[in-house]
Amino acid sequence: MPSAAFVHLAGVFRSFMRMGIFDRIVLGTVVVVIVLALFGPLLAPYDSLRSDIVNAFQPPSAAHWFGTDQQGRDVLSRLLVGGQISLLSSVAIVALFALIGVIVATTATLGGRWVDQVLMRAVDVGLALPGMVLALGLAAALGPSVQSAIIALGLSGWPATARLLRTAMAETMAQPYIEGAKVLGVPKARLLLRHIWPNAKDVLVVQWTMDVGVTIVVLASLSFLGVGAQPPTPEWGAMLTEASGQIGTAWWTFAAPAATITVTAFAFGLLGEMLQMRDGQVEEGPL
Amino acid sequence: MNSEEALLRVVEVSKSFRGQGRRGGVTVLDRVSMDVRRGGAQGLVGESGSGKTTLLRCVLGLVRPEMGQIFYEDIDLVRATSAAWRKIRREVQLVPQDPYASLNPRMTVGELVEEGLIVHQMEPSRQRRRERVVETLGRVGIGADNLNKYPRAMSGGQRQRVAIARALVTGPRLLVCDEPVSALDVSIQAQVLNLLQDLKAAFDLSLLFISHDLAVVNYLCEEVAVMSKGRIVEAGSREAVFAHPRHVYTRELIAAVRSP
Repeated sequence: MPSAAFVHLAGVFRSFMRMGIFDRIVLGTVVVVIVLALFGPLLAPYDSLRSDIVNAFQPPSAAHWFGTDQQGRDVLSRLLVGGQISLLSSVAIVALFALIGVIVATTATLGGRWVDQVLMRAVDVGLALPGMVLALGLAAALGPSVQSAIIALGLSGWPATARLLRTAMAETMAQPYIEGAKVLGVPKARLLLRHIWPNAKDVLVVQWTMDVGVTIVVLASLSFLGVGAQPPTPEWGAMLTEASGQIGTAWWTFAAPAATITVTAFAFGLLGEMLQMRDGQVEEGPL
Repeated sequence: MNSEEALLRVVEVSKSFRGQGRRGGVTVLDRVSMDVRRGGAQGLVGESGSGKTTLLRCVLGLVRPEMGQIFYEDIDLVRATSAAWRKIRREVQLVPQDPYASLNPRMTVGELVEEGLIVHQMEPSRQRRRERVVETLGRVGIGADNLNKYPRAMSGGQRQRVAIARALVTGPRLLVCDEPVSALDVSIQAQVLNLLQDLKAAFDLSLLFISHDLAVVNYLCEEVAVMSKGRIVEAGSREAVFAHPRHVYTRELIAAVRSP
C-alpha cells in the first residue's frame, strides 16, 4: 500500500526532525556511509586498481581529494570501492553470528534444563576465548581471503548474542502473558514468533548495530594482519597494510583509510547507543 | 457431588515443591478436593501462600500434581493426552490477575482477542474472524475503535475487559478467574464483577473464582471453599460458610473484612 508507506516515511521524517543535533549527525553519518558503500563503485572518480606510477604519492589536491598511493592509485576511489567490501562484509558477519546466536539461545530456552546448561556452558567457553585470536587462527587455517575472514568472525562472534538473547528470553518467558498464551492453547512455534521473540529482541537490535561498528574495525585488523582481504583489494584494513610503510612520507595514504574506519565504527556504535536511549524512553514514557 | 452435576472435579490432589539441596520440600497442596458445579460459581479463598494459585495452575495444566485427579467432564487432566488438551484449552479459559502484565504488549487489542480463533482454527475467514472479535469486544464493553490500540494505551479496567474478551472468544464453558479484580481500582472492580456475572448468565459459564477478598467472593459465588496451608479447611454454600463459619481461619478472614 503506497499510502501506508508514505505515512510511515512521513513518520520517520517527523521523528528525525524531533531529534537533537547530535543524534541527527550520527544518523546522517550512518546513512551517508551506507549510501557511499552501496554506490561507491559508481561514484568513484578513478579506477581503484589502475596504477599510474608517474603520479604516485600525490598529496591531496582538487584532482585527488585524498591524494594517491605508492602506485599512483586514487585513495578516494579505493576507499569508495573498499567501502562495499568492508561494510557489507561486516553486515554479513553480524548477520551470520546473529543467526547462530539466535538459534543457540532459542534452543537453550525451549530445550529444557540439560540442553540449556550444555549450550550456556559452551557460550561461557566462547566468551572466555579471545574472539580476535580465535578468528585470526580460523581465518589463517581457511586460507587468507575476505571469505575466510567473514566465516572466521561469523563463527567466533555468536556467544555474546546467544547470552544476551538467552537472558532476554528468560525474562520474557517469566511474564504472565506467556503463561496466558499457553493456557489459551498457543502452539510453541507461534508462542516463539508472536510472544517471545518480539518482546526479547529490542536489546539485540541495539547490540547488533554496535556490533557492525566493532566488526568493521576487527575485519580491518584481520586484513591488516594479512589473513583477511589481500592487496590489491581496496578493503580498508588492507589499504592500511599497504600504506603502513609511508606514514612519515605520505601520511594521507594511511590517514584516509584510518579516519574512514574510525568514523564508520563510531557512527554505528553511537547509533546503537541512540537506539538504546530511545528504547528506554519508550519503555518509561506514558504511552 | 457426582459427575452429572460437576463440570470440574478436583480429587485428592497433592503437590509439593522440592527444596534445594538438603532442605526438605514444601507441601503446597495436601489432598485437596473440590468441585465446580455446571453453571455454578465456586469461590476459593485463602491468604497468599495458601496454595490456591497452585491449585489453579494444576487445573490449567501448568503444574503437574504428584497425586490425585482433576476431572473435567470425564477427562482426567493430570493424565490427559496433548490431543485431549487441545479441546480442553478451548473450553477452559483463564481470566488473569494482573491486566498490566497478562497482555502481550506487542499485540493490538484486535490481535489479542483474535488469537484464540486462530490457534483453535475456529474461523478460517479473516473477515468473519474480525466480525467475531468485534462482537466479542462489544460484549465486554470495548468499542471497535479500539481494535488497533495497544494495551498500554488503555486503562486497567479496559485491559481487564480485553483479557476477558480474549478468554471468551473461543466459547469456553469454564472460566478460571485468578483474582480478576485485585489489581483494579475499587470503582472499577464492581463494573468488572458485574460484567462477569452477566457473561456467566448469558453464556452459561461455570466459574472457578479465586480471591483473597471475601466480599468479592460473597458477591459472585454461591459456593465457597476456604484454603489454608495447602488444605481446604471449610467448604459449603455461601450462606453456610459466612453465617456459621466453623473453622478458626474462616472466622479470622471474616473478621478481617468487617474490621475497617
